[in-house]
Amino acid sequence: MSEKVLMKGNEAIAEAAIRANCKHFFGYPITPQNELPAYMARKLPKIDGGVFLQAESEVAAINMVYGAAGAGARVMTSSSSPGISLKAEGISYIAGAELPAVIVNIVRGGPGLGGIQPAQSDYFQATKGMAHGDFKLVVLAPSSVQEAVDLTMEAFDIADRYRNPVMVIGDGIIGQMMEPVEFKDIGADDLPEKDWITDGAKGREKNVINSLHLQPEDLEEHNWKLDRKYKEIKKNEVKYETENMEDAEIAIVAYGTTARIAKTAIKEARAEGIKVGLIRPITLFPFPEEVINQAADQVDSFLTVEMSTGQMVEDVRLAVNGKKPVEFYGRTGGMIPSPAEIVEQLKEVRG
Amino acid sequence: MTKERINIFTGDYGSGKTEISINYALELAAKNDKVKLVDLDIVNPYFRSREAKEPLMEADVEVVAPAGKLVQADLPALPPQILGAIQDKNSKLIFDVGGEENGTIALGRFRQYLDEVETNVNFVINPNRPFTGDSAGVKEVINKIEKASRLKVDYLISNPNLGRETKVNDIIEGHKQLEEISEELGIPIKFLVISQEMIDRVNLEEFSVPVFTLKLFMKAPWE
Repeated sequence: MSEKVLMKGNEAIAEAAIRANCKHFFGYPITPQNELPAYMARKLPKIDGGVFLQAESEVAAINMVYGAAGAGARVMTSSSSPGISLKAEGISYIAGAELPAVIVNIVRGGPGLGGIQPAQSDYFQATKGMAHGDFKLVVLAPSSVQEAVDLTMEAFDIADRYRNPVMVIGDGIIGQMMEPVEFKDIGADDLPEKDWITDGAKGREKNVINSLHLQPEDLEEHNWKLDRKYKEIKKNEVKYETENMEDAEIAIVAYGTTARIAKTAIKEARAEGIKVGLIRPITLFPFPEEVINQAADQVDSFLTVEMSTGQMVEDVRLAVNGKKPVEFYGRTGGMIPSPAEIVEQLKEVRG
Repeated sequence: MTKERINIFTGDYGSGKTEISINYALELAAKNDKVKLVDLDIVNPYFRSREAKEPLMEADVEVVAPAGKLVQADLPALPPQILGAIQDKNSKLIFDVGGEENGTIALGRFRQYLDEVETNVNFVINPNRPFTGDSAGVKEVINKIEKASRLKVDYLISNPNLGRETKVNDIIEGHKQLEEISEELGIPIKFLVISQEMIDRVNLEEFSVPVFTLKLFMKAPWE
């Protein structure tokens, strides 16, 4: 077999998790991410110590993740939009108990049952309103199958380093499309030892995994501790890509599949003399505020493109901080913006 | 017209069944009056043959797939026209079957109407995909598919590629792998699939099996 394998995004994320030594998967099926648990079901039982379990519901699955993570296992669950909403309570518990876990959301159109075609309308949920309480997920947004592989492997390291849940978020296209990928060993070798896990307190003090703090003084201190952790994450983990920004007068801000469509649009627009570049957030939390704020000193305006009615655009406006106008173009409900539509928007923005 | 009226394309997820089914239907339509493509993919919600409906209609290929609002549903909806198509002896049929055994269950539902004398079952393999890189892996999937469909695989279709990044060597080495798999399983290769973009770069005399040129219909939204 050649070095590269042709894989669907969903399969590639599953294989990347296995290569990152994740042997435990708990989930519940939902389109368009089914190839991910299906791949895990085919592979994990053949691995020594591997467990694939289809739970009776999303709520059960996320609490199995809580248990496995508390016992020190590298563990993953995956779902699509409505299923992630069901997992929200458990995710808050995992964040509260400071457990490392990787959660994959292959986003479909919403709200409610919505549809099964690709969308980016879970941005608010992933970065701000996942569930109750003061907590954050680290949110990684690949725009190719290879990047989905690399970010999934890294997600486990980030989760372990900060004892925090990490979400890999892709729209349905990222999950469904096929691209050649390779699996490079990029595992960190400086991760803290897991001396807090509940693996049987033989010969040591017992460890407790819990998110209940009835004393408000304790709970406040816990929240500030989490807050310091998120500030540390903001300092260390921001990832983004820029393209054609050197002489850009307009900056497109887009992530995931939309960023790839924007790249095609940028080529077409530049052929027509429009000086446009791309800022692509790879981490949605922490958001690449600084590069966007700096770009605001250079460009005349911004165009945020999303498969939603406008979610990330709010973070772009906060980052730009009023220096320049930030316009928005979106398709939603499973509709995908075309390069031609984006070029049209660029012409309007340029005026 | 033995074993040629009904052409079934099956295989693992992402092996290339849908693109091959579409191309095969277009080729048959060039020589035959009545060609029908049955989209039996109830598993995969994206990139299905029903999405190439326009070029197929232009070539007078009838696409038998869930109609109207069910086109975008992830439902195991099978239109009644499938049975009609099987029983229309004047038509040539192509079945695009969903991946793995789950997708093949839908085919099993029609087993009693499929006459082996006029039916051939083709198993599409891309050795660069996970699970089907060696004969043991292929055998496992073929066994599942044969069990679910209650049909025997007659031919392997050699489809070695890495999508848009395919190089000549991927085709040559991948096809060699397929020849080994074919020999070990005792199932002949019907043809080797090479995309339109690559066909001029490959020395076709190297191959002992017929070559089938593939035009790609499924595109990414940025292409």
